[in-house]
Amino acid sequence: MKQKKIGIINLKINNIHSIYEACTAAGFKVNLIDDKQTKYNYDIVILPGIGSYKLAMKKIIEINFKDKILDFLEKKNNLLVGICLGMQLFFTKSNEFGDTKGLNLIKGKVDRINRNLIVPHTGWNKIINLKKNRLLENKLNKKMFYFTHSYFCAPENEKAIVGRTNYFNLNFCSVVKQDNIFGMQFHPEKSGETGIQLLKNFKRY
Amino acid sequence: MNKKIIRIIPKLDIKNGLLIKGINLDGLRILGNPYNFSEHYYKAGADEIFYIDSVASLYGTNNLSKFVTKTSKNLFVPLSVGGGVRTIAQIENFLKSGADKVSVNSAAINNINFIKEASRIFGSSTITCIIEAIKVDGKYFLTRENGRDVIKINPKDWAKKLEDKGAGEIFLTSINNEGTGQGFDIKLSREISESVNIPVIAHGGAGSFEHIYKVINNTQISGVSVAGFFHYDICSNFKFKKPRIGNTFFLENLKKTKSKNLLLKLKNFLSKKGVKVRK
Repeated sequence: MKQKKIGIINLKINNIHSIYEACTAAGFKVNLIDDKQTKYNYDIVILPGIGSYKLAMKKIIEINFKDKILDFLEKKNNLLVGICLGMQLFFTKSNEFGDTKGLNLIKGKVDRINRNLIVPHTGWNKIINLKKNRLLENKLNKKMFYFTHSYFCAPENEKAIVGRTNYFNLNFCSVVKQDNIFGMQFHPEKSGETGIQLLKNFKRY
Repeated sequence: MNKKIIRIIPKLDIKNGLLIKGINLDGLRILGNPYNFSEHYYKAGADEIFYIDSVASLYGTNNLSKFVTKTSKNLFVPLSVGGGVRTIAQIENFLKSGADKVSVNSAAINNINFIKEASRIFGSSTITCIIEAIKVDGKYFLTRENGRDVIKINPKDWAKKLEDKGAGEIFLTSINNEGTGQGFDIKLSREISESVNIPVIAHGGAGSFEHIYKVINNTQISGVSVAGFFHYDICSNFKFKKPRIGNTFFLENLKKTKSKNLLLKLKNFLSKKGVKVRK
């Protein structure tokens, strides 16, 4: 099988070492995408992220990401992956620091976790109600993944929700998939060997 | 009963590139090469790794970045790094070196708005605040510069302030219990963890599985950090290349303990007691 190529969007606002190393460990050819690239010639593009929604959107607009990614998504074998903030950026808007518009690739909004809970939700947790999906083999639903976030995604279309996670009394969407767009609230690159296994599953997409 | 999924976090104190361990954050011993230890902990199922350069704060130096880069390469769990962090540029440098979180103590005491600024720029989940609490005549106080400098502020009030300013987590050390292996300061851990709505990690005093279970079960902490209790076990059971410099007398005379892979055994123990842990 031909080695798949992953491109990682570098917004230069966070640690992209981990995702780079994890994708390499999972057996991909990995490149960091710099601002000047006009076309994304990869099998998979990853939008990673920790940090602020507003700052990330500002950078995304600066690098003209949306036009380039829409072009990339035209090819149905291509896959766009969002991690944590990266997943949240796919949505219509977030209420972080007042309303901030997102990429609107998936309809829905990003809300803050109720302040009465322990926020940020930092630590390991399971994915439940996992729909059958090539990217998430079912044995992964017994495992825990590493989360660290204060906001969560609420897709308008229930069908886009592939997996959910319980945090105290909050039940939120932790895995989303719409056509060739895939998002996860947890960090596979920080989820030990389980996370590496998940990344390996992307080879079969 | 604490219903959270509890993180077990090995803490590695580093000085001049060597793993060290002290008693009451003083009287340092050399244990070995930190890479060997963090690699072992990762494989054994550590939920996170906490690196701290204990003397960086005192001397204002910072040689930790290169270790961060080397360590984070094959470490696919979160890595928290601290020691002498005083500027936004230092935080950025650690994050770019491969740290997932950066921890701050002295800089916050000197200027609490530093936490506000840092959490706005890097996000709350990236900023961990260290509280090193000392008990003097039954009262708790903050300390800085590794317990050398006592500040007349109550740690509970301080924790709330840190939360207000956007801290993502509190790493709480009991100076009195640290390195003694006599158990955690339950009262302190309970007070702090019940007064804030951000995760609190308890550290200082782990000497047995029961100690760890007790602090989890009697407080609202989100994680436990363990240093010597884990390190000594590894030193006595694994053959690492010995460090060539410094006082290695302690290492050479360490008695063999019976158990191997304490971290894994600890998780099994906690799990049987009904504590939720990742396995």
